Amino acid sequence: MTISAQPAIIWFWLYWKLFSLNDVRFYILFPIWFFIGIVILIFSSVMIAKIFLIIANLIHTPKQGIFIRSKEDKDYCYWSLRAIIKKWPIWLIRQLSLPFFEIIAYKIFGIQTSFSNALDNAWVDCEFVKLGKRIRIGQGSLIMSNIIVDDKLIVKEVNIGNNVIIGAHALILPGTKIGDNTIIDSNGLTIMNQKLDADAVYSGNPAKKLGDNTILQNVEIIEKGLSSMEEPKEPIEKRFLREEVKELSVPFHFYIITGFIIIGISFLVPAILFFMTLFGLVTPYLFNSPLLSVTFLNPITYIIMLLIPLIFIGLYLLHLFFVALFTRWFYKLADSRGASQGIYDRNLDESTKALDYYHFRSFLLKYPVFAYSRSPFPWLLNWELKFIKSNKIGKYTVFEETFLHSHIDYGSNTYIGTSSHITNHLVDGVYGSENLTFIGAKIGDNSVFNAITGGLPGTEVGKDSTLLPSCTTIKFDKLGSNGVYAGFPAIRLSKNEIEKFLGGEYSGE
Amino acid sequence: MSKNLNSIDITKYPITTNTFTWSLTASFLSIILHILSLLMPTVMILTFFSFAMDSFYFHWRVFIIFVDLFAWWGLYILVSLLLGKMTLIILNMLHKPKEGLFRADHKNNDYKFYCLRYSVKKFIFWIWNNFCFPWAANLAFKLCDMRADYKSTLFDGWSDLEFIYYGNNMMIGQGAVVLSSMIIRIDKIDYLLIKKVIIGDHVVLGGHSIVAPGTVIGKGTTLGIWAVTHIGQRLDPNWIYIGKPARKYQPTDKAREESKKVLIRRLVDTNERIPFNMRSFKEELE
Repeated sequence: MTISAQPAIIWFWLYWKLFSLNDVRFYILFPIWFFIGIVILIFSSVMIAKIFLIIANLIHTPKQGIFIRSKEDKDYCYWSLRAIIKKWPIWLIRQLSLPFFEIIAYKIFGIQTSFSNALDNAWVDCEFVKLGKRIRIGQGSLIMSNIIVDDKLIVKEVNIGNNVIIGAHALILPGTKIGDNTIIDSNGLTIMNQKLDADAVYSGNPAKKLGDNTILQNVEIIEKGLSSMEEPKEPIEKRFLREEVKELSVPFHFYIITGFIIIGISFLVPAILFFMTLFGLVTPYLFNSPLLSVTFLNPITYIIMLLIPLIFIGLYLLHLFFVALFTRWFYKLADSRGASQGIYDRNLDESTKALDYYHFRSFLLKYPVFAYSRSPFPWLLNWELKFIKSNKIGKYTVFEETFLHSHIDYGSNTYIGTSSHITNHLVDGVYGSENLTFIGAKIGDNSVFNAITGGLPGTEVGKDSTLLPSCTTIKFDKLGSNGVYAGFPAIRLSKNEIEKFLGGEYSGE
Repeated sequence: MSKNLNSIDITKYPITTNTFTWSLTASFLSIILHILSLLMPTVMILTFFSFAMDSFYFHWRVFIIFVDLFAWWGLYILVSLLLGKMTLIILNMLHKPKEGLFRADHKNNDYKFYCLRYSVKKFIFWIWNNFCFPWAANLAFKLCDMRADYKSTLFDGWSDLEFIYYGNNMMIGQGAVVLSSMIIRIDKIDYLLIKKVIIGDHVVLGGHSIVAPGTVIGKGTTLGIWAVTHIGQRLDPNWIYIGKPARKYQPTDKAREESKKVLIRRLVDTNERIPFNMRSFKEELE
């Protein structure tokens, strides 16, 4: 990170030399300069990550296969190392809402892809993925080239042909090969090593062929069918859609005040230090010195240039720390006064203290979790949740980009995959006098929640269990130890079924 | 589904997606918007030190720096919304958005402007969803020509950004997808289908559920976890729907009564049902 910031620093230095701070042009042109600076930063970090990748790959060539998920296994170690190297540049790119840069980075990292692909709503793994052209991938779908089952990591290449459409929430497991022009329905799941024909339509979990993709043929008839669909008429619409108005009593004023305190004050010290570095260190010692070869002979220049990114990272961490600290105080207050776990009527039109604090508590966790998991250091999240005292988290637990809730116990060495969701509350119905089930969940040691899995309130998972992708439990489920589960609602798979799901790669032993 | 599907029966067609490749114009537009919306905050940040604090580090102003901070941040998101809205108005003047079936091809004007509108809206929501108060995004929804109120929780899922009419006080679950447009492939050619989605008051869309274009959902209805509606489906008021395509499971009133009775825990390994003791489980957690 530090090294990759250097070209951008020189870029801003040049700007400082071109225009003075009292010049109007400085301010008008600054955003453009800033934007180009970020682009430079992105490219330099991608390049440096690439160099590190090449070195890592020279020491240990990445290969496909089944590896043991422990620190002793070299393949697993280098797999995690490669993921960490790619983390910073990919994170940086995702701060801009431009998919163009992401594809460039993927190309530089050696993934076969094309600029005509639309991948920006989905998660695509950064290695062992081969993509064709003109692919559309839906909201929240996942293309995985690796899967964790029990204590094993399975890596296998995914191959997707041209012109493929993959629906929303679809899951493509390792080893899948998809032919050209194929359509996969939403919520579809391909099992490992599945081969999908070209020009076909697939649907279901696991995906089955429905027919050729020529099932719809005549545009005019479809257009006619669409326009003849009944539209809700005015008086019926009102009875059909509108409820009598009930005023909600959500304590928004509470939210806004605490939000301001947590976020505002956590920026106080970092902001002061930011101005001190910018105008006390950077400007006088670096930006005001001439951009000549003489300056570059001075070792102090290099020290300052290396210090700048370090200081900025430090300030960012300081901000994160203050966020956790203030949240911890407010959380303690809300947790002692809020509703304890149980089943409640959720009459939102009448204000009750317990519910107000219940909502307040879930609001409190929103920003801190968001700030940590979207930062370039998502592994700090474990520390943060323990610090706030909202969850018990064991050692070596890994969270990917997930939805997090309070009152859930994670054992040690658990793995919570991308977009998976273990929740502590469930609403049966809507506002009015309806039910709110609020109870935590318990996840045993070494258990694995793969991508897009779900755990509903009251779920208990034993030790060494695995939930395969898209497996969701229903409320109050108890899952045993050493099992492999799939489907919704979750079922325990037999040895044959596991073998089938994992394409014969591994049978859970 | 048979091979010779009735061509009119679009209800059985797989629900796909509406992601598109960004054209050069769209990327360019987005970059311009990013740059313009950065202008005001940067001026304020860079002049803060020399003007507000008189180039002095321990000026008293530094202690209310968080007020300025919210001003910078707030200005940034407001400017981005205004700029985005202005661009949208211009785009809509050039080409009126409409429902229907269009060739998914950048030569088609409807599709081209659809992509442009979406890139502008994505730019707006990118900034608004990163703001610390997620409910603020409801204002952005309103200004993007959609119906929404301020108390709905709309920020946890993927929602399309046009031709959607949300009800009051509704909830979108984590990872749910609301589509008002999607790609359908007819005779090996991609078409974009746009059909408006109408959702009633007090509706809950469960986690990972998908609402297809043309869906109308009545008031008080719940769509279960992993449920998917088909194109043009009508869901009756006050029911719980599950499955794919969504079918009636039980009336909301009944579910409400049932969940107050004995709690049942499912032992997944043996498929047994045992009563669930919430108190002891609670104590285990604490």
